[in-house]
Amino acid sequence: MHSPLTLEDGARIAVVGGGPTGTFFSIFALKMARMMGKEITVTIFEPKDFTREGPAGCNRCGGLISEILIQTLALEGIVLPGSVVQKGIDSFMLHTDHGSTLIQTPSHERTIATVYRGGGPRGKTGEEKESFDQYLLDRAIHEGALHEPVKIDRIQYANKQPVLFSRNTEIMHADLVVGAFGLNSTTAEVFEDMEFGYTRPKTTTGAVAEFFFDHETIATHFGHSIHSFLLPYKNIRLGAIIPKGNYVTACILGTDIRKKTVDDFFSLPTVRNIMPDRGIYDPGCFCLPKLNVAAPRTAFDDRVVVCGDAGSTRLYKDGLGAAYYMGKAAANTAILHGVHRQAFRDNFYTTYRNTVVDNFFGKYLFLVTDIYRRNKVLLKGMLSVIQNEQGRAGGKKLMSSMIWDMFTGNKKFKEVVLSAFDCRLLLGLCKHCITNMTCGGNGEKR
Amino acid sequence: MKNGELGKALANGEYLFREGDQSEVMYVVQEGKIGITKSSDQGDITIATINAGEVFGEMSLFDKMARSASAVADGDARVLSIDRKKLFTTISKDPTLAFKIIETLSKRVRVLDEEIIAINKNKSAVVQSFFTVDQICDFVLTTLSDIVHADNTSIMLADTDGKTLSIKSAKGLQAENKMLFEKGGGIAGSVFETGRAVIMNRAEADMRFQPGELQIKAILCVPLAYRDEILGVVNLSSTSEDMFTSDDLLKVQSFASGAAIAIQNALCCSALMNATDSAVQHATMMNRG
Repeated sequence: MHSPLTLEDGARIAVVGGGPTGTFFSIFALKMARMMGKEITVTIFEPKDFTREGPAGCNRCGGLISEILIQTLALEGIVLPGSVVQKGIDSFMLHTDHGSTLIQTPSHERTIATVYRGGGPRGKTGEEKESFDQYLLDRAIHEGALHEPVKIDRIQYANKQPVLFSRNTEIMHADLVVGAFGLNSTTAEVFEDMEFGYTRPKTTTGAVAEFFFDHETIATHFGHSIHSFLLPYKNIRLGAIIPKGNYVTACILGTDIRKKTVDDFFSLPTVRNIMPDRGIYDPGCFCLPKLNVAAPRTAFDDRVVVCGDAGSTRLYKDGLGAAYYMGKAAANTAILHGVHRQAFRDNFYTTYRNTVVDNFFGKYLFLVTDIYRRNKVLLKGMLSVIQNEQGRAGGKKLMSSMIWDMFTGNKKFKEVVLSAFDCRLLLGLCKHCITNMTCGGNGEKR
Repeated sequence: MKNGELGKALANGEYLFREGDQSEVMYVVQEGKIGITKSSDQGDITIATINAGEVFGEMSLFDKMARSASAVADGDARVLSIDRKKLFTTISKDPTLAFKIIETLSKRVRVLDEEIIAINKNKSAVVQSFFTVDQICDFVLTTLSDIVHADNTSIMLADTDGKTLSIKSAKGLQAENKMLFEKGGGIAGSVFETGRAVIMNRAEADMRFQPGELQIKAILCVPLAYRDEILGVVNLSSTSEDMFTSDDLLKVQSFASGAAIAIQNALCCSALMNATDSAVQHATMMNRG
């Protein structure tokens, strides 16, 4: 006998939010249902037009798709077309006040993709490219999902079944509601008002800015590398410049982030050194997205689950990877195990909790990174180890791999932390630190 | 390679790996096509074409043996590599990721099953159903016209002296039944001499080509070989360029091997019948005498 809270033929799923989490959920729910011989309806409620330029069509993030996610998606049959990928990335450039070093992918392939979440920066100039979010939405529609460009502003229960409303008009009675909304929208309130214990995650603010350059300038100055900056300045913990088509995207993490932080970042000598000219940079498009730093305790109940940025996501990195894992975990749970609270606890919650736990390792890593960026000896030692590794043809490149995996989100934070406790790595680092000790000195500027 | 391209770029004809190579990497075609080829006495034969979104090269990952075939770009292409360690780690975390590989392997087994059934069906039909060379030749040409598109098809068999080829059966727009080829002369004569199949999509460019009344642009010619003996050739031609593919070559070769056995059987049968007739005739005359 079936539990009343399982999805049977004719079941209706409402996905609130058509970003990557919502579309991944829809794609995998429909695929899995088809394999199980179930006929279900998945409706994605997303009012945003992802083909629009600027913040209006964008889900506001750096737009980096990690190597592991690219490969995993390919295994899923989702091969990103050239029309979506703004630039293939094959290396990572680490800049400090004491020098820079390049870390190549071991395969010498372009394994990381940079994309626009929406239709590109406001007033976009240059070649037409497809939005990543729109591409995924189209894939979900291709799998059989329905798309309603409607903003859901209220969900209430009727006979223990969620009913969705928009502008006081009843839209749908759902067998399952999936909250796949972003933190920059007001939809979190709708789920908080459902009173199953969900509260929006704690957030911090980052800065994302897009700057226009011609293709040649980008090729000369940025190549196919992500440029990451570890600089000893109080308000800027981490900065990155990501080349995309004929724009570069600057992403900044730190404290008290405002528009002025972007100006401050581009006035730093190490950043100015790699920029095409010494002028003042005016971003073509700018936003201050909220970033999830602590997942909500409760993210599911009977017939409702919240995933992606609104639930548990990876700390500062690989948000799109988290969207994939969470969306798929929620879909598998719903189709294979049911939509009751216990089913989500026994299945979906494992993935959810793993990400929460992994973020503790992430916080530790960012803490260690903070120590490094402020300490000249450690930073120079680390640079020397990487340069030494990159200079030789073979052998294990432990430090390079660790930095690559951490900054590109290629591996779990826990795996990166564990890889740091390698005797050869630590001995090599000590050796190079001692060699550089004569340079001495440390301290934070400003 | 453009900005938006991921993976590794391959130019037309560039090999990604070769048969016999050791490797721990599988690939996903990002863009373009990859031909999977196997070497044979008659040159490389394309056994499959991998399209965008499909995976290949996974066999070596699972059976840990050398590459069973070569992979070569069919036009400009891009591939994304996935190494064994990453693949197995990823699959161990989410076993549903193996579905795509299982699906690919299932499709390949299904295609191979269908090909084996078709080849066996045609081979048994040709070997078992006919007794005369003419019947066999007609059947072969009728069947070939169903599986390979060509304007003209013909079967040429060696004459009794073994030095010339003449057309035994022909079908097409204007079948030239009276053409005769000496061993080594023309495309057919060359195939007859060397025993090596020829696929030629711009026939005029080849010195061996002997133009006739028909405006032939493309030729596919396969030997009818029985053990070490070349009995003749199967000849397909077209008035359009770039007509024949490696797949066509494979199909005609498979079919020709069965046809050669049947023709040899029919020739032996015919010789036996002639010998029997002449023995009976001789015995009758002796009795009368």
